[in-house]
Amino acid sequence: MAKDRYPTIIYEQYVLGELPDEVARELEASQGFSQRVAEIHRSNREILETYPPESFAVRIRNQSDALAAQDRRLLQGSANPARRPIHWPRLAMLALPGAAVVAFAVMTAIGTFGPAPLPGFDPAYDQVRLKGSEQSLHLYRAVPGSTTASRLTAGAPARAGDRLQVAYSVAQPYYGAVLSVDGAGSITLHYPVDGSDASNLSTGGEQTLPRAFVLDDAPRFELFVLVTSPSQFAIQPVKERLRQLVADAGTTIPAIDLGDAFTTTTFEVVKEP
Amino acid sequence: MAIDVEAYYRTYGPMVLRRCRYMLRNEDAALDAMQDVFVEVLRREHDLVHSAPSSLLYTIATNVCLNRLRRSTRRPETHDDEILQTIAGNLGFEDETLVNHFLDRVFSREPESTRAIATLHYVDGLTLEETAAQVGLSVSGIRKRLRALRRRASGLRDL
Repeated sequence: MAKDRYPTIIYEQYVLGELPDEVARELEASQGFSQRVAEIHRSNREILETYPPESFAVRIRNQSDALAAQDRRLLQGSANPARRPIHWPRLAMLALPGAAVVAFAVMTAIGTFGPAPLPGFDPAYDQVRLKGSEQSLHLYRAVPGSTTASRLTAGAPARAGDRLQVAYSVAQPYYGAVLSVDGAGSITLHYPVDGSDASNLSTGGEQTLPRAFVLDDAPRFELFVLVTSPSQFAIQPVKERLRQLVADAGTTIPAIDLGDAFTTTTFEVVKEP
Repeated sequence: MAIDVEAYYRTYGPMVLRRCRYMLRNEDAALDAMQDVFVEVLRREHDLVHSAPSSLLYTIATNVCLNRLRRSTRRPETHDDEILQTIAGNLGFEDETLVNHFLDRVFSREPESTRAIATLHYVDGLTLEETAAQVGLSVSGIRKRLRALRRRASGLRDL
């Protein structure tokens, strides 16, 4: 029996000949059927005349080829990335409270810890407009048992069990992903939460990731990496490249070089026993 | 399967562009989104099956547009616009960060496709059965996703 109203996709699939026969017969009996179908045919002609398949196909192929080339460059990477040793005294200096740690307002916790973001971050903290390709990562930490978080500086110490909240700032609404590598060589994708491709990043100050992250007992460091590109990119090649860089770096913190197609920003957290 | 881009565009391009026009309400943005949709299809060409690819294209177009809406600054002009931008996670409010924070929490444990499912059901008016057919899930799977979404949104609203 025909319904009063059919969604647009049903009409589209009818015109394309992809609707099951039974549904197609019901649709044909519905009110306004002929008019809707005629309208789609008219629109089809208008679109194909305005945007001819010959030229639009070229645009699609060009963009697709550019993305494929980007993926290949990423997989190849640089031949032998420089290893960057951990400068423990420098990191220790950076970690001195009061000297380099930025004072940060502590907000009241709005709930219990879970996969949700940590309380304690202040979206108004970093409203400075970024220019060009500028981008940055920000981290907040809550120690076990605490319901508030404090802002970390790069190289700050942290322990297994600490809960970290990551935020990013970007000047352009590029595509991006946030990952981390640890001293055991594990790679964790923090953003997007799921999916195989980079997400559209939001501009306009710090953007807090939807989930906090609990540090495990991997040794030495956790290195967070913000990867951005003006074009959409697949995350798996990025993870493979990071895995290779971690392996090459041995016991040192890897230098992150993903090639010219990407802009990367890192944030080190030094693991304390 | 290998795709003849020109033939594919000739067959499905108009449908995809209409979808993008409806969701984005901007011709240039819709054209860019349509291009992204076909590029995405090319990236998945080896996973595609021959029969009835319109559902896949329509769902990809929905996701591409939701992602674009999420980073756009356009204010919603109609009720459908408002619902779409809510699902996309962009209301353009002064407290946008808090709104995004709320929506991120609503969607954070859900697969990316849940946004598309919510759009098809709540905005496009597809029944549970029709939504299931479009995205290739069972009706109970769709019901479960939407129930979890409503429960999460309701729980957060009570905070």
